[in-house]
Amino acid sequence: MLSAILVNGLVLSGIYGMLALGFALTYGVARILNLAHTAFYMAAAYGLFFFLGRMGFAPAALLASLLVLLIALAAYKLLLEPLREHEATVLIVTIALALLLQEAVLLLFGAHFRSVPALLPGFVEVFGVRVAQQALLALLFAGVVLLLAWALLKGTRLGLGIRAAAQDQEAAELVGISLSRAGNWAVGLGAFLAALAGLAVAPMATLEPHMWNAPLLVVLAAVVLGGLGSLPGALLGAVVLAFAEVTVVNLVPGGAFLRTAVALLILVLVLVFRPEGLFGTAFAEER
Amino acid sequence: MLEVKGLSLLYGKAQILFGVDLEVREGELVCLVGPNGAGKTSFLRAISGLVRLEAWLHRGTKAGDIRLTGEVRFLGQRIDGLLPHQIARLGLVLCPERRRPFKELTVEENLLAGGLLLPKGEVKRQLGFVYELFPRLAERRGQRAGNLSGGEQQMLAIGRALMGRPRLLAIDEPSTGLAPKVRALVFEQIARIRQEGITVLLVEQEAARALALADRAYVLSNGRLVRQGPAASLLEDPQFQRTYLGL
Repeated sequence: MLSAILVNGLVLSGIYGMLALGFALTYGVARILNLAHTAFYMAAAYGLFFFLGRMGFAPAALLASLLVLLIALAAYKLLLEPLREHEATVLIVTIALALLLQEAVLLLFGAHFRSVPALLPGFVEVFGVRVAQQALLALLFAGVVLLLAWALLKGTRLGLGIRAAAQDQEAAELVGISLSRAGNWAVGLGAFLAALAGLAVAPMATLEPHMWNAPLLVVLAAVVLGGLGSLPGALLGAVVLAFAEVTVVNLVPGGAFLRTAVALLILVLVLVFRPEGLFGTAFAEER
Repeated sequence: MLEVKGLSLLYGKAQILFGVDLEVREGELVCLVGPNGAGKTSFLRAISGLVRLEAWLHRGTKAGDIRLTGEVRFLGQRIDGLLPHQIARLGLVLCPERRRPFKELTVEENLLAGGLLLPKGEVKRQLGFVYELFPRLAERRGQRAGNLSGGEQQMLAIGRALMGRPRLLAIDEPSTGLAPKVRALVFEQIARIRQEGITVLLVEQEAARALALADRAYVLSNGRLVRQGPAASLLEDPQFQRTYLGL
């Protein structure tokens, strides 16, 4: 039981980590609370499903993620950036965008459950737990993606500019960072991370047009727990949420139904007892 | 180097600046003094592009109803329509009010962020220059900037601005909120920066200290320039002494 929680929790942490980091980047730099974030993840999964019928895995994955990137940047430049100061409007537009993607998927692929064949079929035993090889591959993939994202943010001038812009918009402009450019990068990277999470999940999950709902709650809970705007906080929040979910599913008989309840419970508890989250001080001060 | 002609600024219906004319020549240290609320910070925000940024960020809302008129030239080029990152790249760098460090970044990361204005190969040398000027920052290089004391944050803010190797450094209220001993140190460091050949435009409430450093000074009151001249002659003027030095 314990090892099942450990192994599955890690796999899920990787997926949620990619989602939460992308969400936090978009929010931190471009100041957009993107409720369509996990709809991008769904779009990438369906994109993979669509292109796989026509080509190999790698080109299909590449095309699917580029498609999502294009949708995200177009939505940002045409719809969201011009409205950024009207926070409520931005929220409504992102919900509309998510619903639009959901309906587009419904129209194109129907309401049936779809699936993407595993790249690595079969199972292996890890710490006495039977794990799909595909899940281990997803974990490895998430680990590499997160490490690369971290190296970009911590080790390059671009990453430094993005982190500075997330902290203080005016001070960032004063050291020569173009906020508009930083926003494009953050939105692009954020959507790309969501797409990669979607690609990682697609071979393990069933695709259906509402698959973005539950992860959206998880991501919201994770970034609120970590502190809105904090990138390390978002990652830590994702790990906590993943393990909380896996623990409940494993310990409570029939607990799979409680998945979203766990995320909601954490979200509510944090908002009541520590609304600034674990690392969220700087952002609250600045506003 | 910097020429400002007839600069006026309105936030909605509230006029903050009324046709301000000001000039800073290469190599000078020019001081802008005046009482609280005279428009000194607004003036710096206007010439550094922050006002334009504010209008752009808040466009389409009430807070974005900002009108900036008049002419600002830097090194002969019009800059009054530019955003701060464009103006900073031309060599006019503002060290802002309240210091505004990137609190969650380390001291060194803050300085490196200032160095984003330089080509990659020149950052290391400039970092050495700033650490030599502020040895305290070198000692604290790995610390989170939000954990520094007020005086250290001020040094960090000036150091971050210097990292971009500015032609003209504008400093807004560096002494505010600091202990007297630390203030003296900050003024010493400003004098030192000037000796390095960097032109400085200094905005200060503590007029006596600032004027002692400056070549020339402008006095701003209620958004209008009311006096200007060599710093030394202002310091000796009895009327100026009564009004601004409290003597």
